[in-house]
Amino acid sequence: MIIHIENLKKRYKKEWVLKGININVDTPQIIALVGPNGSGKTTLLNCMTNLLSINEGKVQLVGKNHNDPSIFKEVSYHQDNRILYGHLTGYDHLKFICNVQKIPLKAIDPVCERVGINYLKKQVRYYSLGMKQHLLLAMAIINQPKLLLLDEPLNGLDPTSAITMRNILLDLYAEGTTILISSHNLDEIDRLTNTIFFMKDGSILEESLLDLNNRHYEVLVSDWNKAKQILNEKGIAFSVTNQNQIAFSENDLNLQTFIHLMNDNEIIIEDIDKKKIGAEKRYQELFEGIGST
Amino acid sequence: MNNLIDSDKNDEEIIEEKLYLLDLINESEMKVNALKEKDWKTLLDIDLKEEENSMYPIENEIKKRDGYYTSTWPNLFTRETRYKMNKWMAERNIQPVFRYDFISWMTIYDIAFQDEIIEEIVKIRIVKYDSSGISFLNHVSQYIFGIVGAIFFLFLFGDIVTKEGYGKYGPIHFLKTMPIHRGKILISKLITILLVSMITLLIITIFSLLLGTVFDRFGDLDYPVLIYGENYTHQLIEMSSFLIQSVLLFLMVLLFCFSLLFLFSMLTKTILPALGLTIVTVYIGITFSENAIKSSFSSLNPFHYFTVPKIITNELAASINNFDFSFTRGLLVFFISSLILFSLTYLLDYFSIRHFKKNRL
Repeated sequence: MIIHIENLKKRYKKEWVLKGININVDTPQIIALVGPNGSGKTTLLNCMTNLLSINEGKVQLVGKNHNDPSIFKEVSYHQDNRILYGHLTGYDHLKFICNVQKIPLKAIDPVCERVGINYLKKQVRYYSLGMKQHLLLAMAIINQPKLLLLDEPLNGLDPTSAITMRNILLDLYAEGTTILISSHNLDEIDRLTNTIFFMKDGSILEESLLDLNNRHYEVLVSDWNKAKQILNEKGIAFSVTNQNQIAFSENDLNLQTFIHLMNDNEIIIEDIDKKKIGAEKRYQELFEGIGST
Repeated sequence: MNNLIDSDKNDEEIIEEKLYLLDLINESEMKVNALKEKDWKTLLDIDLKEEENSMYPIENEIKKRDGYYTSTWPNLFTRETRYKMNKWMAERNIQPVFRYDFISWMTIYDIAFQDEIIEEIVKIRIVKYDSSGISFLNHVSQYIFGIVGAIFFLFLFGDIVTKEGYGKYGPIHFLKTMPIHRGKILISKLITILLVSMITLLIITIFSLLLGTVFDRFGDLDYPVLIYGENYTHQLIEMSSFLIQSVLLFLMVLLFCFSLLFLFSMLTKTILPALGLTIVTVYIGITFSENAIKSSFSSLNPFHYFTVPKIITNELAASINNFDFSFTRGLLVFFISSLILFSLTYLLDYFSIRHFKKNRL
């Protein structure tokens, strides 16, 4: 088992911030943790890596108890960039990891080349946010981990760097690394995975395996009230957007059938917007109430 | 010279007095020559001979063991230690730190004086200066190896734990996600801070020695240092041993202070409160301990051992007549106290009581 989390609970004083998390991952995959600020994503990652104590439950990573420091031979945690030593160079950081992990120093160059770092001799205090993120990624992958945990790795990255990071993560996944990524960048999440854990108030609200091939339509009609009535009569699942568009999934209603229905009832179709059901859509449905009837 | 001799005396007495004065002049000339030629052995031998030929020869007095218990200057202990120190220096041809005559020496057993003038003279003359490197280093160590030095080092390296970001995001969380045991992280920090302190002490030592050597001379590593013993006994050790012991004990003082700081750092997570609490604790500890210095277990209290030179010379032990206070016990007490504090710190870290602020979920 790569990740085994059983009824994980964490409390700050009297308030429960993680309320019984269960996650099981036994084959390499990319999993995204998505949720609004304060939903418990970073706390979950910190509890998993024993940076925070847990109050109840059990956490095992790569088959070992999470409080066993030896897990970090196979698990890497890409954290906030404030963990870096400002007075040390990027090379110092990587060298330290190599020494601790007993990795030959010759592993540094290929990793830097892969991530695109060419400023290793500079002190970290002079790095930009993006440069720090690159270094953190290099530090996280230099030991070729079985499990890679990433907390907001895309923060501060320009589009080119974001693409590079995405490709590296996809390559690592292809090489057999399991990746658990927490991010607010839902477009990037969509490009990385369709396995998403939506978190809210310390709980996993939904474990979604989004079908990215499933089309979603938002249609602007001349009389949306009439259209709504017809669809309700037919018992078809749909929703109305805040711009009074009729929204439905291809699974529930074929587009041709919808067009025929509207034509038969003399409702003019003014515009059809074809969309994928992605993380953002699902996020809106879950957390912002958009799209619900 | 005739003017110096009383006219009422008979010839025999006058001759005797003349001879005495001639001896005195010869002796003074010998002293001046010895001083000019830096012949310290001759200089000290003259002084030793004077002590041996005095009205109460020192060797006889020591054999009788009479006079140790008087508290009036100079008691036998004071005479004996001065004699032994001069003998030590004469045997090794060591340059004495001037002044070195009999009114320039007192010990802790000299509590009362015959009169105020003598007291004033002695107390002025016991303050001795020498500009050699070793002597300068000794003076510097007297100031550093105590509470002042401990606070200095606390301010210098005190942020080693808090700057890592205990309680907030900081490099400590990088270390904690490495395959290293948490206790090892704390121990390595403690070792690092002690090593850095040692290097700083080494720099101070080299600087002091260089300064003295450049402007005067290196000095004598085997200069005698008086160590008080039980029942008015004593021993002399070389200055080099004294300095090494002082450094060792002071490092243990630092170990204790840093262990205390680590504990407070773990509790408060920020440098200033941690530093403030450490200094206040040490100050309160020393102040309150002074009131209880005569209790049975006082030698187990680490706060008594902060005046390092007084511990090494057994001055503290002799002044309260409790020779449980010693250099070795000091080392042991500091080590055990630090171990307890360190274990508490480790436990606090282990249970991660307040690692992160709640607003960073």
